[in-house]
Amino acid sequence: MKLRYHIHLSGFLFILLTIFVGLAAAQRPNNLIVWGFGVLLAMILVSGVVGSSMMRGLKVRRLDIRRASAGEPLEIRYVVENRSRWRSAFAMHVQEVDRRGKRTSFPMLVQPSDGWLTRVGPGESQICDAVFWPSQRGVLALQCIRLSTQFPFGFNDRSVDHAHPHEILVQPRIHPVRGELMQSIATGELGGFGVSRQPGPGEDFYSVREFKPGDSIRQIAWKRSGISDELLVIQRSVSAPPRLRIVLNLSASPSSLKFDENCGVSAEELEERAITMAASLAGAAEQHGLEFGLSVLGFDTPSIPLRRGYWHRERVLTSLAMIELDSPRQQSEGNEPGEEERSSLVVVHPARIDPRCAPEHALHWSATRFEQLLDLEIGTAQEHDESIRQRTKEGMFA
Amino acid sequence: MTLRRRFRFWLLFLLVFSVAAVAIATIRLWLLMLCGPILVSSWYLCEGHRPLCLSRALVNLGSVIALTVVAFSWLMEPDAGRVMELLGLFVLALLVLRQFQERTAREDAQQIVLAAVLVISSTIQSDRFLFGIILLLWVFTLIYVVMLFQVYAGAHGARERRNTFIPPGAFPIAPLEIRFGPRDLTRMRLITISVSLGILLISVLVFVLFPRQILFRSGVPGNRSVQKSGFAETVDLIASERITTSRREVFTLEWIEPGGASTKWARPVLLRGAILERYDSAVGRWVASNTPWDDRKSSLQVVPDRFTELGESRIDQQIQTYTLWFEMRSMATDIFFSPWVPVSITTFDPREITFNRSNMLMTDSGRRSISSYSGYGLRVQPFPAEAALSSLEGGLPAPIVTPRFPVQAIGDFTRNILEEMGVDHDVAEGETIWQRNRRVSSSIMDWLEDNCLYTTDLRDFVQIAGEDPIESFLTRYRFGHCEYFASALTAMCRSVGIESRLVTGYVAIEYDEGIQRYIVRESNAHAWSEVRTGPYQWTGLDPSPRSVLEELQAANQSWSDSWRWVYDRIDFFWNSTIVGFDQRSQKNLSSRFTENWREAFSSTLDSLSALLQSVNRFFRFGIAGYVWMVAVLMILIGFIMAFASLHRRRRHLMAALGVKHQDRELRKLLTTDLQFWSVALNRLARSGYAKRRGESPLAFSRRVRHASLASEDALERLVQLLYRVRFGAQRLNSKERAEAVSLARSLELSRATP
Repeated sequence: MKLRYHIHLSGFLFILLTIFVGLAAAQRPNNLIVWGFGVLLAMILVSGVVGSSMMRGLKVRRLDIRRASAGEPLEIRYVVENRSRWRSAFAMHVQEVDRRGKRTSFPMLVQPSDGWLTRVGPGESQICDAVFWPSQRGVLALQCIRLSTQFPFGFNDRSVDHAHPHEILVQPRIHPVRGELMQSIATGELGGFGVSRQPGPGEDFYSVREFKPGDSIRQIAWKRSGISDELLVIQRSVSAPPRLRIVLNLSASPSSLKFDENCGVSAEELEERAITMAASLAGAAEQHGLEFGLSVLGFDTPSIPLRRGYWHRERVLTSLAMIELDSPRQQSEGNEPGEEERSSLVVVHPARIDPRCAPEHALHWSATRFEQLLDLEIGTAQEHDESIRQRTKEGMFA
Repeated sequence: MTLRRRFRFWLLFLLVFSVAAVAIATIRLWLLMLCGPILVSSWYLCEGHRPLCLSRALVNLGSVIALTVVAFSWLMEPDAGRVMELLGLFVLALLVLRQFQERTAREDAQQIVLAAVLVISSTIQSDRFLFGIILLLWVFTLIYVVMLFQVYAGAHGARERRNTFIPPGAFPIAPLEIRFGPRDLTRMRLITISVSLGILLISVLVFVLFPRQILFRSGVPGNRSVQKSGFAETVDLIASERITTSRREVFTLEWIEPGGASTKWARPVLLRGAILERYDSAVGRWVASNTPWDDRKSSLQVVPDRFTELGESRIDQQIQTYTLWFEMRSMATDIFFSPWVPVSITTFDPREITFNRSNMLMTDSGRRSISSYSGYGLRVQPFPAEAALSSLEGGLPAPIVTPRFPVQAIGDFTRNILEEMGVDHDVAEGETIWQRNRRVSSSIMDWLEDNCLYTTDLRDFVQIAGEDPIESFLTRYRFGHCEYFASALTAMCRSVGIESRLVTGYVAIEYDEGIQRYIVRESNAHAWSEVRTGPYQWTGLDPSPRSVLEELQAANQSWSDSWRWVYDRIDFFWNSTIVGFDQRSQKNLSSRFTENWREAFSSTLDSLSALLQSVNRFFRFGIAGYVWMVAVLMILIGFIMAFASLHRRRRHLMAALGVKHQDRELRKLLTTDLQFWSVALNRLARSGYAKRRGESPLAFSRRVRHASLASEDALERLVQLLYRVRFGAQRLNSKERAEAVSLARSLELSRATP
């Protein structure tokens, strides 16, 4: 950790003013100007001493980050600890920087906001948060945390970079799938409510088993227990929700994708859109209570079985987040959807639909119809990022 | 009060201070009376819940108008000296206008910068005491305001940046919470005080060490404005403006008769400060002579409580000798003011003075203390015997010359006047030249008293190009103040061949019966003439009408005069210590500091040596005793170092074990038994395995074992022993302690990778 000084315009102007007053003091034998010159010099010195001493004994660390999703604010919380016995630290900025100390080296982020602390008293720990806005999914590598201040006079910026490498997996953005589409998927021929092969709190009889401590006496099958010498309880089957298998077809490399090049979207962007569509489908399926699974064609990613629930959705989104589109495409074996799985099948293609990669009953979605299939409430990711960039340029950060 | 409101409040305070500084610097109190309430009203109009602010267009329009007025004013009277004044006025207008507009944080910063420009421009114009006080307060307020601004602007910017991330319809983000409670405020005030003190200390150091010797070519610090209303060593007749009538007390004068009683002298006492013998008609200025004859100086060492003779031989001081005591109130100068004719002098502290025998003026030529002199005593003979004068002037009279005045018109005018009065300006039969001088100069003085009007207001005295100001005074206007009267008398005397010179100084006219002293104020600064009336004799002639002087004196008196001494004392300290701090003061301070330091060092050495000798004598060791004492001293130092090291280790161990707050007995036991843990921690830290704060010993040992490949068993055993002693109430005997320490020393670890 090295204390760095950055002098900015106001600092230069102040130094110029000091020189000017110094020259005036030399030219005009007025002792008040001499004293004023002394005050200006002292302000520069004291500013350096107070600012740098304030930075000593400060520690910063990140609190655990639960989840991050593209297009959603990512709040990172920091704990700033002041180990000094006497000194307070005022007006502290907390920023994420890379190893070279540059702020804007995250390709996945638009310009983040800073963490801010008005004061950290001696021996105190304060928590602050900074809001980031990941613009795309993937692994976001955080490297250093910068603590900086301009206190007390704002002539220069004193900063200390604390190395805290950390990786955050940014999940793909989820857009709502248009309601009628989801209904048509959920009520498909191969989906619908049925009886599961596993025991649970259902209506239909499944089997009997031996009584175990903790079983309710209401579940005891008295007649069967009367026949045998041991207590037996009734097991019932759970009701099975509709099932959906999402297949993301990324087997074709971006250069071999066939699409209208005049649409203003690149092949890579189409693939990203396909991933977003798959994630949106998973999100919608979780919202509608469906069991869903994921298969990715073209990468050596294991197929995720059909399950439901929030944590399963997280698993699917994590799998989608980890797809590296730059890596070479493979002929996936075993990832192709089979006939034996009783589920609706939606195959998401980045460009032109290839019906050969799935059974006949499968639905095929293409990323070229991104806007038609998904409900883009706040515009596309690019539009949103552009809007923030525009506002940044307009000086709202100033 | 919110952070923003608090900052704005103190910003307003700073601005009012800035206006006060300008008003005092430019002596325009109406500025403060006008702008102060306007600025205060901005708080009620623009900082409330329903602010009534001016639009930016109106503010810009106002700024343009202010700029136009200032530019027009400068064009009407283009003077480089007015630049700072006009700049100050323009900035003031800008500052007041912008206070009524809705401001961002950046514009608040601009207000601070404008206030700084305003005060700096004022600093160039003034060095008055009141201005200095305002400047000091302004600096302290500025420090607080700038610190508040840093916190306020930083918080404001952080909140703005966060708000930018909330697009319409997007996920809500909690707004940035800005906390600034009473504890924060207290801390902020504490840091402001400490920073202010630090700045004050450093600035005083810079003030003292500023290289005046190299940079100040004129050598005289201080602004001319201080001397403008008082005594001046030159007389400039071109500057025809109303002179100020400052009531500041310069010094007091006690006039003691030969019998020892304080009394008031029958006539106003003319106290000589400078003799001006050369007149430059091109610029209308009287300056001191620089001929060798006029520069016969003697250096004298003066000590307190004893009068030092000024004459070369002993002067009879029993006849007509009066004693005068001067006590300085608000003046720092190296001139000893004295009436005609001083015969001996004493000062309140030892000094070296220079006595100019040609004109009998005295100046301080030695190392002057920072606060200048505080007083001196004189013995004077208003009617000196020729022997006394001869002794004072070194026994050699100045050569008799027939002077001429460079303005021909004045000579013609004087001759006409004397002719009209029936006075012959030539030496009559049976008359000496000195008698002629006395006769003719008295006539001229009478004419001036009768025909010219005394006034301090010279705004109507318009200088005519190509016409000498004395000629204008005599032939055109016939009104002016003492400098014109004295100049006219001197010029007229010279034009008819009478040796005369202009004198500046003070006239003691106000006598306080209560304290039986003359009070001499700045408004008593005066000019008169001296005419040569003997080989050694010069007679002072004051052509200014005495009655008018007394009337002016009475008119200027006010109820506050009796309390002015309180302010004047402080003002004197300011002028002598701050404004008058010059190269000599710097040198003096430096030598005094060095001397004091040397004295302190040598006295410490002496006392130490005396102590050692007395100890040696007490034990009767002889010469070898010193060797013993050195040995004892070395042992003592070693003991102190060992104790400090032990104490440090003990504190370190207590911190590592977290037993700081345990009772003393337990702490002592634990720190004795657990020495090995301190050794182990040090050894591990050297190997790159520093224990983290708050990390338990067990977690620490696990981390070390995980990272290292060696000494696992030893560390595990030590940790187990630590827990048994710390929490299991096990006590170790000396052997076990030694074993544990040696085990700790035997820890061999591979170095941790960074």
